[in-house]
Amino acid sequence: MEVDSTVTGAPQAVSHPVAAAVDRRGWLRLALAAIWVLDGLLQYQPFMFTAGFAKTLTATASGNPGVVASPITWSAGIIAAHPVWTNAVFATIQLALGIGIALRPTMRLALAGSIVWSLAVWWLGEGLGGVLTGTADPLAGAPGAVILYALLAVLLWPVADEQSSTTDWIVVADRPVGASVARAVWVVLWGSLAYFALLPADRANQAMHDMIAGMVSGQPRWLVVIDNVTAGFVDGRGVAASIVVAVLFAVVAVGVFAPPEVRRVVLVVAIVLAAFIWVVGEAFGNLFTAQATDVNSGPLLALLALTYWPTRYTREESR
Amino acid sequence: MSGPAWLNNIFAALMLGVAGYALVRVILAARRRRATRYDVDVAHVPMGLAMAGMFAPRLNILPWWAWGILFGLLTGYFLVRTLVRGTRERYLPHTAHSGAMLYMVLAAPVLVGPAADGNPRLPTVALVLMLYMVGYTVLLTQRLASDVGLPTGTGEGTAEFAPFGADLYKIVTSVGMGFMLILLL
Repeated sequence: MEVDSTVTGAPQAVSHPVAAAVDRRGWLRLALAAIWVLDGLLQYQPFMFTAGFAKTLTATASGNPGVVASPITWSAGIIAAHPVWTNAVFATIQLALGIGIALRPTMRLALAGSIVWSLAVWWLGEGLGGVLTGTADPLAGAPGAVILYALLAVLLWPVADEQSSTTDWIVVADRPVGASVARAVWVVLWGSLAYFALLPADRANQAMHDMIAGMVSGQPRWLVVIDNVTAGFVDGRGVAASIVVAVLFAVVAVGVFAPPEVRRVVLVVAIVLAAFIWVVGEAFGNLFTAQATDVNSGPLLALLALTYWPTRYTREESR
Repeated sequence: MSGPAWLNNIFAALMLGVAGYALVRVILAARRRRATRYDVDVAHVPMGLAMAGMFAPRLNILPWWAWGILFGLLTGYFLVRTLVRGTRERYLPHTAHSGAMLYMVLAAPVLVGPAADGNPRLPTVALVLMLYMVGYTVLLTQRLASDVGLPTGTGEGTAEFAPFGADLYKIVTSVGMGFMLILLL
């Protein structure tokens, strides 16, 4: 604890440096907690208390198999009938998950709760991210932002850091599930993004242009400029742009097997791609439109990349 | 400002609670000769009152321009403290809070009052401040658990007065500001 000489009424006072007790995994977990808190606050927006919110949920059933779509329309019907109290519960749950993950005594409970909640929302709120509809677009948030919350909760699960005798590199994501499983998850995720980018609906010549140009409504002027410039660049070049994006996704997917020094470069590419998705494809998760329920996939993909960041091990860092 | 009235009232009540707690905290800490950051606590009194007035306009006690002058001065004060070597880390959050209040009271007329048009003013500023508030909320929250068990009510006169409460009211303030900033996006 540091001495705070700025107070009056006493010569010294106690202060608690925020960063002191937070370890590397803890920082990533706090970032996840922050995103949950933000989601909770977004869910309190006035639009979410209207029947319009239920309509957006109902729309996610479209194109899904009946066994997936029926529960979506059923739950959306309940929300449409009781929009106020159901949304109040949803928002409070998400806020509580964020606070719970940040609080050390409730961390495990909140992480477990976030996994359950994320899976439920992925199905009932996002229609499984559209992965079964043939229209999933990685630039627009496929395979569904909320499934990434569940994945992060698993990979950031608190475990004891033990010194490994076989490696001098630490990867946060490897600890809870093992390096093989963690790498498999990474390959499946980024590989699926590459696959989705090449779906007929996404590789159509005007598809990327139309998707980006369609994001400008309600956005600040500078973001409109970015979107318009990007949309103009891919105008008529949808196939080529989709191939380039898919190749980059594929490189990132297999890059997890590269040596640590090379993997860092690949992860930087992943973070840049995530930023591109967030800014251009998702318009910052539509935060400026008063109808965003979450930040969408961009920040979560970046956070995920950071959990795979290899850090050289030193004895002083072991716990 | 639309949305359920009860939700705005809850947020208004929480903000009044912040103002009341900060005021009581200053008084009790002075009487018991315990340490606290008086400037920070005192600043949270108008912050809580102004925020309450944004969530529930009938509770607003000053015109927005008057709040603007007040929070402009507070922002300047905390900015100077932030620039002073050795106190930067401690006062940066309060500079951000005061700056956010200055932004909000200048932008609030678009949400409440007869001139409300619902069109956001400088939404990018609101986004940046909102992200800061959310981050600060979780940072304080993770610290909150470590505050439990500190000798907040016992010990020497140099012990900080109720550090748990100090963090808690700042968390509530940050959540309230974060939500208001989202409404201003």
